[in-house]
Amino acid sequence: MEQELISKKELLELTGISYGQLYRWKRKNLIPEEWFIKKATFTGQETYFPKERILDRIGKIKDMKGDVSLDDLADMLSPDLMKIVLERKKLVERNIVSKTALDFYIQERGEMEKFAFENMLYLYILDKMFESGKINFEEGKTILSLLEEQYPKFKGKGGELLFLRKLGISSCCLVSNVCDVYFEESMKIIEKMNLSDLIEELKIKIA
Amino acid sequence: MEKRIGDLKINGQSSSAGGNYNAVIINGEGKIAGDLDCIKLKINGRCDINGNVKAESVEVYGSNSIKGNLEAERAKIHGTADINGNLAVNKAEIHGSIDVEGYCNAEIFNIEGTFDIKELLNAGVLKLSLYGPSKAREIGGEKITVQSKGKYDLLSLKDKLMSSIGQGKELTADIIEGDEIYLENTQAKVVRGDNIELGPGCEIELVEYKGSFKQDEKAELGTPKKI
Repeated sequence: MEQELISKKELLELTGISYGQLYRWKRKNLIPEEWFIKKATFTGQETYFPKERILDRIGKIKDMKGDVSLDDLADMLSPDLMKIVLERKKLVERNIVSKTALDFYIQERGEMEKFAFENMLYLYILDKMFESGKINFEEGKTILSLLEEQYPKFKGKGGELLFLRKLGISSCCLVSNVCDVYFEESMKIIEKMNLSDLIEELKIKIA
Repeated sequence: MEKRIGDLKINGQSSSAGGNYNAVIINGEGKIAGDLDCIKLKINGRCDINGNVKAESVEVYGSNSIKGNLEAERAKIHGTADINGNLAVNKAEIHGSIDVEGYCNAEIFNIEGTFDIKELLNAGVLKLSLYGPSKAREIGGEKITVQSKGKYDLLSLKDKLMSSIGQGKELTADIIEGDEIYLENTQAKVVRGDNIELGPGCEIELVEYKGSFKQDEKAELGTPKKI
Protein backbone atom coordinates (compact mmCIF):
# COMPACT_ATOMS: atom_id res chain seq x y z
CA MET A 1 0.00 0.00 0.00
CA GLU A 2 2.74 2.37 -1.02
CA GLN A 3 1.40 5.89 -1.15
CA GLU A 4 2.64 8.96 -2.90
CA LEU A 5 3.69 11.77 -0.57
CA ILE A 6 3.54 15.50 -0.98
CA SER A 7 5.57 18.01 1.00
CA LYS A 8 3.89 20.72 3.00
CA LYS A 9 5.29 23.43 0.77
CA GLU A 10 4.05 21.77 -2.42
CA LEU A 11 0.68 21.20 -0.82
CA LEU A 12 0.24 24.86 0.06
CA GLU A 13 1.29 25.92 -3.43
CA LEU A 14 -1.02 23.46 -5.08
CA THR A 15 -4.10 24.22 -2.99
CA GLY A 16 -3.50 27.91 -2.36
CA ILE A 17 -4.10 27.66 1.38
CA SER A 18 -1.85 29.32 3.94
CA TYR A 19 0.17 27.90 6.82
CA GLY A 20 -2.32 29.47 9.20
CA GLN A 21 -5.23 27.65 7.60
CA LEU A 22 -3.43 24.34 7.63
CA TYR A 23 -2.57 24.69 11.32
CA ARG A 24 -6.12 25.79 12.11
CA TRP A 25 -7.57 22.73 10.39
CA LYS A 26 -5.12 20.54 12.21
CA ARG A 27 -6.21 22.08 15.51
CA LYS A 28 -9.83 21.45 14.66
CA ASN A 29 -9.02 17.81 13.83
CA LEU A 30 -10.06 18.23 10.24
CA ILE A 31 -6.77 16.68 9.23
CA PRO A 32 -5.80 13.60 11.22
CA GLU A 33 -2.53 13.57 13.09
CA GLU A 34 -1.35 10.42 11.30
CA TRP A 35 -1.26 12.22 7.99
CA PHE A 36 1.53 14.50 9.18
CA ILE A 37 4.55 12.43 8.28
CA LYS A 38 7.88 13.72 9.47
CA LYS A 39 10.91 13.12 7.36
CA ALA A 40 14.47 14.24 7.77
CA THR A 41 15.78 16.44 4.96
CA PHE A 42 18.78 18.70 4.55
CA THR A 43 16.94 21.59 6.21
CA GLY A 44 16.08 19.49 9.18
CA GLN A 45 12.67 17.97 9.47
CA GLU A 46 10.00 18.42 6.84
CA THR A 47 6.40 17.40 6.96
CA TYR A 48 4.87 15.26 4.24
CA PHE A 49 1.31 14.13 3.61
CA PRO A 50 -0.28 11.22 1.76
CA LYS A 51 -0.92 13.09 -1.47
CA GLU A 52 -4.20 11.73 -2.70
CA ARG A 53 -5.92 11.74 0.68
CA ILE A 54 -4.83 15.20 1.77
CA LEU A 55 -5.77 16.79 -1.56
CA ASP A 56 -9.16 15.15 -1.40
CA ARG A 57 -9.65 16.26 2.20
CA ILE A 58 -8.63 19.86 1.54
CA GLY A 59 -10.95 19.96 -1.47
CA LYS A 60 -13.80 18.81 0.76
CA ILE A 61 -13.03 21.31 3.49
CA LYS A 62 -12.89 24.16 1.00
CA ASP A 63 -16.16 23.08 -0.61
CA MET A 64 -18.04 22.75 2.65
CA LYS A 65 -16.63 25.33 5.00
CA GLY A 66 -19.01 28.01 3.74
CA ASP A 67 -22.06 25.98 4.73
CA VAL A 68 -21.06 24.27 7.96
CA SER A 69 -18.99 25.36 10.94
CA LEU A 70 -15.51 23.91 11.30
CA ASP A 71 -16.57 21.96 14.39
CA ASP A 72 -19.45 20.29 12.56
CA LEU A 73 -17.16 19.61 9.68
CA ALA A 74 -14.70 17.95 12.04
CA ASP A 75 -17.45 15.64 13.28
CA MET A 76 -18.34 14.76 9.75
CA LEU A 77 -14.78 13.99 8.76
CA SER A 78 -13.79 12.06 11.86
CA PRO A 79 -14.05 8.28 11.77
CA ASP A 80 -16.22 8.30 14.90
CA LEU A 81 -19.59 6.78 14.35
CA MET A 82 -22.59 9.06 14.41
CA LYS A 83 -25.40 8.54 16.84
CA ILE A 84 -28.19 8.66 14.36
CA VAL A 85 -31.03 6.35 13.53
CA LEU A 86 -32.75 6.46 10.17
CA GLU A 87 -35.91 4.77 9.07
CA ARG A 88 -35.74 2.10 6.46
CA LYS A 89 -37.68 3.92 3.80
CA LYS A 90 -35.54 7.06 4.26
CA LEU A 91 -32.45 5.06 3.33
CA VAL A 92 -33.80 4.31 -0.10
CA GLU A 93 -35.61 7.60 -0.53
CA ARG A 94 -32.50 9.60 0.14
CA ASN A 95 -30.50 7.32 -2.07
CA ILE A 96 -28.10 6.31 0.68
CA VAL A 97 -28.17 2.64 -0.28
CA SER A 98 -29.79 0.75 -3.12
CA LYS A 99 -32.94 -1.27 -2.68
CA THR A 100 -31.16 -4.45 -3.69
CA ALA A 101 -28.66 -4.16 -0.86
CA LEU A 102 -31.40 -3.28 1.61
CA ASP A 103 -33.49 -6.28 0.56
CA PHE A 104 -30.48 -8.53 0.92
CA TYR A 105 -29.86 -7.19 4.42
CA ILE A 106 -33.49 -7.65 5.46
CA GLN A 107 -33.47 -11.17 4.09
CA GLU A 108 -30.38 -12.00 6.09
CA ARG A 109 -31.13 -10.20 9.32
CA GLY A 110 -34.90 -10.12 9.39
CA GLU A 111 -37.29 -7.18 9.26
CA MET A 112 -35.89 -3.93 10.50
CA GLU A 113 -37.56 -0.56 10.49
CA LYS A 114 -34.86 1.59 12.00
CA PHE A 115 -31.19 1.55 11.17
CA ALA A 116 -28.43 2.71 13.50
CA PHE A 117 -25.30 4.21 12.01
CA GLU A 118 -23.33 0.96 12.28
CA ASN A 119 -26.00 -0.92 10.38
CA MET A 120 -26.08 1.76 7.76
CA LEU A 121 -22.33 1.54 7.46
CA TYR A 122 -22.37 -2.23 6.92
CA LEU A 123 -25.13 -1.81 4.43
CA TYR A 124 -23.28 0.95 2.67
CA ILE A 125 -20.15 -1.16 2.38
CA LEU A 126 -22.12 -4.11 1.01
CA ASP A 127 -23.96 -1.89 -1.42
CA LYS A 128 -20.69 -0.55 -2.78
CA MET A 129 -19.30 -4.03 -3.22
CA PHE A 130 -22.40 -5.40 -4.87
CA GLU A 131 -22.48 -2.43 -7.16
CA SER A 132 -18.90 -2.96 -8.27
CA GLY A 133 -19.91 -6.49 -9.25
CA LYS A 134 -16.90 -7.92 -7.47
CA ILE A 135 -18.81 -10.04 -4.99
CA ASN A 136 -21.93 -12.18 -5.08
CA PHE A 137 -24.64 -12.50 -2.44
CA GLU A 138 -23.04 -15.53 -0.85
CA GLU A 139 -19.84 -13.56 -0.32
CA GLY A 140 -21.88 -10.62 0.89
CA LYS A 141 -23.06 -12.78 3.76
CA THR A 142 -19.49 -13.55 4.82
CA ILE A 143 -18.55 -9.88 4.73
CA LEU A 144 -21.63 -8.89 6.69
CA SER A 145 -20.93 -11.34 9.47
CA LEU A 146 -17.27 -10.32 9.57
CA LEU A 147 -18.24 -6.67 9.94
CA GLU A 148 -20.87 -7.35 12.55
CA GLU A 149 -18.62 -9.52 14.64
CA GLN A 150 -15.33 -7.69 14.35
CA TYR A 151 -15.95 -4.08 13.44
CA PRO A 152 -17.30 -2.96 16.84
CA LYS A 153 -13.82 -3.73 18.23
CA PHE A 154 -12.41 -0.95 16.07
CA LYS A 155 -14.48 1.56 18.02
CA GLY A 156 -14.61 4.15 15.33
CA LYS A 157 -10.98 3.84 14.36
CA GLY A 158 -10.16 3.76 10.70
CA GLY A 159 -9.07 0.60 9.00
CA GLU A 160 -9.42 -1.36 5.83
CA LEU A 161 -11.64 -4.13 4.65
CA LEU A 162 -9.87 -6.48 2.28
CA PHE A 163 -11.69 -8.90 0.06
CA LEU A 164 -9.50 -11.68 -1.24
CA ARG A 165 -9.76 -14.52 -3.65
CA LYS A 166 -7.48 -17.47 -4.22
CA LEU A 167 -8.18 -20.12 -6.82
CA GLY A 168 -11.86 -19.30 -6.78
CA ILE A 169 -12.20 -19.38 -3.02
CA SER A 170 -12.99 -16.05 -1.47
CA SER A 171 -12.36 -14.61 1.94
CA CYS A 172 -12.22 -11.27 3.64
CA CYS A 173 -10.43 -9.59 6.51
CA LEU A 174 -10.41 -6.38 8.48
CA VAL A 175 -7.13 -4.57 9.08
CA SER A 176 -6.99 -1.89 11.75
CA ASN A 177 -5.34 1.32 10.61
CA VAL A 178 -3.43 1.35 7.43
CA CYS A 179 -0.42 -0.86 7.36
CA ASP A 180 1.33 -2.83 4.68
CA VAL A 181 -0.02 -6.30 4.04
CA TYR A 182 1.57 -8.62 1.50
CA PHE A 183 0.16 -11.86 0.19
CA GLU A 184 1.63 -14.65 -1.86
CA GLU A 185 1.21 -14.35 -5.58
CA SER A 186 -1.87 -16.48 -6.14
CA MET A 187 -3.85 -14.55 -3.56
CA LYS A 188 -5.64 -11.72 -5.28
CA ILE A 189 -6.92 -8.64 -3.53
CA ILE A 190 -10.26 -8.14 -5.22
CA GLU A 191 -11.40 -5.12 -3.28
CA LYS A 192 -9.86 -2.84 -0.70
CA MET A 193 -12.09 -0.45 1.15
CA ASN A 194 -10.89 2.27 3.48
CA LEU A 195 -13.34 2.43 6.35
CA SER A 196 -12.67 6.02 7.44
CA ASP A 197 -13.27 7.20 3.89
CA LEU A 198 -16.52 5.28 3.74
CA ILE A 199 -17.67 6.62 7.10
CA GLU A 200 -16.91 10.11 5.88
CA GLU A 201 -18.86 9.58 2.64
CA LEU A 202 -21.77 8.13 4.51
CA LYS A 203 -21.86 11.01 6.99
CA ILE A 204 -21.94 13.51 4.19
CA LYS A 205 -24.78 11.61 2.54
CA ILE A 206 -26.79 11.50 5.73
CA ALA A 207 -26.20 15.12 6.71
CA MET B 1 -21.35 11.30 31.68
CA GLU B 2 -21.55 10.85 35.43
CA LYS B 3 -23.63 13.28 37.39
CA ARG B 4 -21.82 16.24 38.84
CA ILE B 5 -21.91 16.09 42.58
CA GLY B 6 -21.52 19.68 43.67
CA ASP B 7 -18.34 21.45 44.58
CA LEU B 8 -14.97 20.39 45.86
CA LYS B 9 -13.32 22.83 48.20
CA ILE B 10 -9.99 22.43 49.86
CA ASN B 11 -8.91 25.03 52.39
CA GLY B 12 -5.60 24.25 53.91
CA GLN B 13 -4.06 20.97 52.95
CA SER B 14 -5.96 17.97 51.75
CA SER B 15 -6.36 15.42 49.02
CA SER B 16 -9.19 14.10 46.89
CA ALA B 17 -9.77 11.25 44.49
CA GLY B 18 -11.01 13.45 41.64
CA GLY B 19 -14.28 13.03 39.78
CA ASN B 20 -17.02 15.27 38.40
CA TYR B 21 -17.79 18.57 40.06
CA ASN B 22 -19.30 21.94 39.38
CA ALA B 23 -16.54 23.97 40.91
CA VAL B 24 -13.22 22.90 42.34
CA ILE B 25 -11.58 25.49 44.53
CA ILE B 26 -8.30 24.95 46.25
CA ASN B 27 -6.93 27.45 48.73
CA GLY B 28 -3.71 26.13 50.10
CA GLU B 29 -2.34 22.81 48.95
CA GLY B 30 -4.30 20.09 47.26
CA LYS B 31 -3.59 16.69 45.78
CA ILE B 32 -6.01 15.07 43.41
CA ALA B 33 -5.40 11.41 42.75
CA GLY B 34 -7.34 10.91 39.50
CA ASP B 35 -9.10 12.57 36.59
CA LEU B 36 -10.94 15.80 37.23
CA ASP B 37 -13.94 16.97 35.25
CA CYS B 38 -15.46 20.26 36.32
CA ILE B 39 -16.92 23.54 35.17
CA LYS B 40 -14.54 25.74 37.07
CA LEU B 41 -11.15 24.99 38.55
CA LYS B 42 -9.51 27.61 40.71
CA ILE B 43 -6.26 27.13 42.50
CA ASN B 44 -4.83 29.61 44.98
CA GLY B 45 -1.65 28.03 46.15
CA ARG B 46 -0.60 24.71 44.85
CA CYS B 47 -2.23 21.64 43.40
CA ASP B 48 -0.97 18.37 41.93
CA ILE B 49 -3.37 16.43 39.80
CA ASN B 50 -2.55 12.86 38.99
CA GLY B 51 -4.75 12.52 35.91
CA ASN B 52 -6.46 14.41 33.09
CA VAL B 53 -8.28 17.66 33.64
CA LYS B 54 -11.29 18.82 31.71
CA ALA B 55 -12.86 22.12 32.63
CA GLU B 56 -14.58 25.13 31.21
CA SER B 57 -12.37 27.56 33.01
CA VAL B 58 -9.10 27.04 34.81
CA GLU B 59 -7.51 29.71 36.96
CA VAL B 60 -4.26 29.18 38.76
CA TYR B 61 -2.62 31.59 41.14
CA GLY B 62 0.40 29.72 42.32
CA SER B 63 1.54 26.42 40.93
CA ASN B 64 -0.14 23.51 39.34
CA SER B 65 1.03 20.19 37.96
CA ILE B 66 -1.04 17.83 35.85
CA LYS B 67 -0.01 14.27 35.03
CA GLY B 68 -2.30 13.97 32.03
CA ASN B 69 -3.90 16.33 29.52
CA LEU B 70 -5.51 19.66 30.22
CA GLU B 71 -8.56 20.48 28.15
CA ALA B 72 -10.34 23.76 28.83
CA GLU B 73 -12.28 26.57 27.26
CA ARG B 74 -10.27 29.24 29.09
CA ALA B 75 -7.09 28.94 31.07
CA LYS B 76 -5.48 31.68 33.12
CA ILE B 77 -2.26 30.93 34.83
CA HIS B 78 -0.44 33.29 37.14
CA GLY B 79 2.53 31.35 38.34
CA THR B 80 3.62 28.02 36.96
CA ALA B 81 1.94 25.11 35.28
CA ASP B 82 3.51 21.79 34.49
CA ILE B 83 1.55 19.55 32.15
CA ASN B 84 2.75 16.05 31.41
CA GLY B 85 0.31 15.45 28.56
CA ASN B 86 -1.19 17.77 25.97
CA LEU B 87 -2.78 21.15 26.39
CA ALA B 88 -5.93 22.01 24.42
CA VAL B 89 -7.63 25.31 25.20
CA ASN B 90 -9.58 27.93 23.39
CA LYS B 91 -7.95 30.84 25.12
CA ALA B 92 -4.88 30.71 27.27
CA GLU B 93 -3.34 33.55 29.21
CA ILE B 94 -0.16 32.81 31.04
CA HIS B 95 1.79 35.09 33.31
CA GLY B 96 4.67 33.07 34.56
CA SER B 97 5.87 29.82 33.08
CA ILE B 98 4.39 26.78 31.50
CA ASP B 99 5.91 23.41 30.60
CA VAL B 100 4.06 21.00 28.34
CA GLU B 101 5.38 17.53 27.53
CA GLY B 102 3.08 17.01 24.54
CA TYR B 103 1.53 19.38 22.05
CA CYS B 104 -0.35 22.56 22.71
CA ASN B 105 -3.45 23.68 20.79
CA ALA B 106 -5.12 27.05 21.33
CA GLU B 107 -7.06 29.63 19.40
CA ILE B 108 -5.56 32.45 21.41
CA PHE B 109 -2.35 31.94 23.31
CA ASN B 110 -0.75 34.76 25.26
CA ILE B 111 2.31 34.30 27.36
CA GLU B 112 4.19 36.75 29.47
CA GLY B 113 7.03 34.80 30.93
CA THR B 114 8.66 31.63 29.70
CA PHE B 115 7.58 28.29 28.27
CA ASP B 116 8.88 24.91 27.25
CA ILE B 117 6.70 22.92 24.88
CA LYS B 118 8.12 19.61 23.75
CA GLU B 119 5.98 19.12 20.66
CA LEU B 120 4.03 21.47 18.39
CA LEU B 121 2.67 24.75 19.64
CA ASN B 122 -0.32 25.35 17.39
CA ALA B 123 -2.36 28.52 17.88
CA GLY B 124 -4.46 30.96 15.92
CA VAL B 125 -3.14 34.11 17.48
CA LEU B 126 0.05 33.65 19.38
CA LYS B 127 1.61 36.38 21.44
CA LEU B 128 4.75 35.48 23.27
CA SER B 129 6.36 38.12 25.45
CA LEU B 130 9.38 36.37 26.77
CA TYR B 131 11.29 37.10 29.92
CA GLY B 132 13.70 34.21 29.66
CA PRO B 133 14.78 31.21 27.59
CA SER B 134 11.81 29.41 26.05
CA LYS B 135 11.52 26.44 23.74
CA ALA B 136 9.09 24.73 21.42
CA ARG B 137 9.90 22.07 18.88
CA GLU B 138 7.62 23.60 16.29
CA ILE B 139 5.37 26.65 16.23
CA GLY B 140 2.49 27.05 13.77
CA GLY B 141 -0.39 29.45 13.51
CA GLU B 142 -1.99 32.41 11.83
CA LYS B 143 -0.42 35.32 13.64
CA ILE B 144 2.75 34.77 15.58
CA THR B 145 4.38 37.55 17.57
CA VAL B 146 7.45 36.93 19.65
CA GLN B 147 8.80 39.76 21.73
CA SER B 148 11.73 39.59 24.00
CA LYS B 149 11.09 41.46 27.20
CA GLY B 150 14.23 40.62 29.11
CA LYS B 151 14.18 42.88 32.13
CA TYR B 152 17.90 43.12 32.58
CA ASP B 153 18.53 44.01 29.02
CA LEU B 154 18.89 47.75 29.43
CA LEU B 155 22.47 47.95 28.25
CA SER B 156 22.17 44.72 26.27
CA LEU B 157 24.41 43.44 29.00
CA LYS B 158 22.55 40.19 29.19
CA ASP B 159 23.04 39.57 25.49
CA LYS B 160 26.74 40.03 25.80
CA LEU B 161 27.01 37.87 28.86
CA MET B 162 24.73 35.12 27.66
CA SER B 163 25.97 34.90 24.09
CA SER B 164 29.47 34.29 25.38
CA ILE B 165 28.14 31.05 26.86
CA GLY B 166 25.98 30.43 23.81
CA GLN B 167 22.57 30.96 25.36
CA GLY B 168 21.63 34.45 24.32
CA LYS B 169 18.38 33.61 22.58
CA GLU B 170 15.04 33.87 24.28
CA LEU B 171 13.21 31.53 21.96
CA THR B 172 14.55 28.38 20.37
CA ALA B 173 12.47 26.39 17.88
CA ASP B 174 13.14 24.06 14.97
CA ILE B 175 10.42 25.35 12.70
CA ILE B 176 8.16 28.39 12.87
CA GLU B 177 5.39 28.63 10.30
CA GLY B 178 2.51 31.09 10.05
CA ASP B 179 0.78 33.77 8.02
CA GLU B 180 2.05 36.81 9.89
CA ILE B 181 5.26 36.38 11.81
CA TYR B 182 7.21 38.82 13.92
CA LEU B 183 10.21 37.54 15.84
CA GLU B 184 12.75 38.95 18.26
CA ASN B 185 15.71 37.23 19.81
CA THR B 186 14.80 33.93 18.23
CA GLN B 187 16.90 31.07 17.05
CA ALA B 188 15.25 28.77 14.52
CA LYS B 189 16.27 26.47 11.71
CA VAL B 190 13.38 27.35 9.43
CA VAL B 191 10.88 30.22 9.38
CA ARG B 192 8.19 30.10 6.71
CA GLY B 193 5.18 32.31 6.13
CA ASP B 194 3.41 34.99 4.14
CA ASN B 195 4.70 38.12 5.81
CA ILE B 196 7.76 37.83 7.96
CA GLU B 197 9.53 40.43 10.02
CA LEU B 198 12.66 39.61 11.92
CA GLY B 199 13.57 41.91 14.78
CA PRO B 200 16.85 42.26 16.64
CA GLY B 201 18.71 39.21 17.83
CA CYS B 202 17.26 36.66 15.42
CA GLU B 203 19.35 33.81 14.11
CA ILE B 204 17.51 31.94 11.39
CA GLU B 205 19.05 29.43 9.02
CA LEU B 206 16.36 29.42 6.36
CA VAL B 207 13.62 31.96 5.70
CA GLU B 208 10.92 31.40 3.10
CA TYR B 209 8.20 33.97 2.51
CA LYS B 210 5.41 34.59 0.03
CA GLY B 211 4.48 38.21 0.69
CA SER B 212 6.81 40.61 2.39
CA PHE B 213 10.02 40.32 4.33
CA LYS B 214 11.71 42.77 6.66
CA GLN B 215 14.69 42.33 8.85
CA ASP B 216 16.48 44.21 11.54
CA GLU B 217 20.11 44.96 10.79
CA LYS B 218 21.05 42.92 13.84
CA ALA B 219 19.32 39.78 12.60
CA GLU B 220 21.54 36.98 11.34
CA LEU B 221 20.20 34.71 8.70
CA GLY B 222 20.86 32.59 5.67
CA THR B 223 19.53 33.95 2.38
CA PRO B 224 15.81 34.67 2.55
CA LYS B 225 13.93 33.08 -0.30
CA LYS B 226 10.73 34.37 -1.86
CA ILE B 227 8.47 31.58 -3.06
